[in-house]
Amino acid sequence: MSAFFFFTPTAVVYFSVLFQTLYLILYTLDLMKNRRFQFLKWLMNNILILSYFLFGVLCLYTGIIMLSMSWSYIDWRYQLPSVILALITGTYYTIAIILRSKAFHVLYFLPSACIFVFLFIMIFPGIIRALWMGLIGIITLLLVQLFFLLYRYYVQKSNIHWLNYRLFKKNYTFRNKYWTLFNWILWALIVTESILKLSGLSLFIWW
Amino acid sequence: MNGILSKANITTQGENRQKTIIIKSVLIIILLIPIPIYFLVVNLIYLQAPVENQPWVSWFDDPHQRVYVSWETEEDTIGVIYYGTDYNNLSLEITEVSAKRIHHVILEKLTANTKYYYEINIGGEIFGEGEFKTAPLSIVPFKWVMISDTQRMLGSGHHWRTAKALKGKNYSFIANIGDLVESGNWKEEFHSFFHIASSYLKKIPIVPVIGNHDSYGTSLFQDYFINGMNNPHDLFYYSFNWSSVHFQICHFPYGTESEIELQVDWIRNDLENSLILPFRIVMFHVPIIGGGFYGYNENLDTHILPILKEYNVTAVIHGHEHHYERGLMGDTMYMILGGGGGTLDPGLRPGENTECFAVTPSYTEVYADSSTLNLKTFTLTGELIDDYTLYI
Repeated sequence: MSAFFFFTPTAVVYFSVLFQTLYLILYTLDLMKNRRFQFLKWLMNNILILSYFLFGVLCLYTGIIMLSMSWSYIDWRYQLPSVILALITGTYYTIAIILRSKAFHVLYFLPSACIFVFLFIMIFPGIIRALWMGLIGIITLLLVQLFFLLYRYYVQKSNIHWLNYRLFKKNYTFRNKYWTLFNWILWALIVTESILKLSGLSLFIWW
Repeated sequence: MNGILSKANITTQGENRQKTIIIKSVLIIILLIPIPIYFLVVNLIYLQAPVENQPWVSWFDDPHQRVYVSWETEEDTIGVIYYGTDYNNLSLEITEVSAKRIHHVILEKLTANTKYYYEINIGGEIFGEGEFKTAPLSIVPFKWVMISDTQRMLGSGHHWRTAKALKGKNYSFIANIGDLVESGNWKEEFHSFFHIASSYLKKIPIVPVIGNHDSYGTSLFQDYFINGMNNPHDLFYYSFNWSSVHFQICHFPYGTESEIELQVDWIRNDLENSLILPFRIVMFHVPIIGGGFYGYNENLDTHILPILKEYNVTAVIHGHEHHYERGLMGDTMYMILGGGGGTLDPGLRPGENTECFAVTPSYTEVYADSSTLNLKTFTLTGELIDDYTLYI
């Protein structure tokens, strides 16, 4: 068997709980309306956008890996709900960001995703071990974030109007009410699946 | 008039603001509450497991004629055990000498390959009962089952589902390859383990292996399991023969150099003495190689694997990593059976030696006769994950 690293869908669902909960908290508090703390707002927004995007890539990677392996179907009632949620979350955090943004986003999102996946699969196949041993993984992620921020700063300075999408922008339109509903349903499913998984069950195995 | 309207507007705005704050607070609470509540409830339920534990059976080095029966009571008590080969006539009897809470009674001079029934009486009342079968002296086909890492970790874990899957099944014994509990110095963890396991331990004797979690702090593991009671340095190792297979259980909760140093002679001598049997199975908690969190153990690879190869060990069974894995270390087969109860591994990196793996709750059933060893791994709902046969 060739050596490659992947997260298990169960773990991805646990992490998704953190991501989706944080997302909804920020969304509910509507922090972006606050005119104070501009720099912090800017910093947080950028860090969150990239974190969510990279986490989305990870979710998609995990979901696809699981679906492409025959063994993922062995215990499908246990695995499949997590795989489906990983794919939904992954699509939501990655593709949605790209599609809702102007085409120019692709220019910086895709390279960051490629760098991340490359680092993740090729250089740190044992990323957990790396995190465990020397926090190398964390430093790498921070460096990716730093490059991303520098890049965004540079683009902003050059007056290119691409920053028209805010991940946490709250807009009371009819369409966004459904979007909010979707977020809450996704959160509820992820939390339920996590709790069931922690008890040895899943959304398809109740007892 | 305008002033009054403005005042009214300000009041309405204030009320709206208040309303928004309340709604937002409620939403934030809804978002934050489920997981902490879950952990709280699970822990409360988990800690409520009864102290009194139904009996379990295990042995030292000769399960064909000597086993021990254990149980735990809330208070210091003296128990009487009645046992025999006829369920309706338990003609043999042993009364404990002194009162204790964790009880171990050794049954000796048993007949090989024979089913025994037993009943424990405390103060004239039946405390528990069970059955076991002694090992055969000759080679006869038999089946045993293996699980590992039944600790609960986060949440309740799935040991209860494993127990449900094993309940009522007929195996010669169950080997638990370590980390029976999350914290070996916490009595409640053992109470909970036995409470869940009692559904299968009533009919299936246990072959315990010590894990790193079992040996935390002032470990209680060896209070509950006395298989290694005569060993030096408080180490939990032992071995026994069952039909065509020699089983060697080593004390490698971490696989450190000092653990190896203290056992290496025993491992070598024990394997040397087992060469008359067709199969040799070695069980210890920490894997030599594996595709999970811990991966590779250099100490075990350098000092133990060559010995296992030298004595043609059929299979090495591990736990520690929370997934199922089967692979080869040269010609020696290894298995990792970490799907017994704890939270499964967050990430995996199957190596070039890995032949099969799954991140799912599982147990492994083994059939042995004089020339074959068939290992089948199942999910808790009975789907076959892996089927592998070894021949002499």
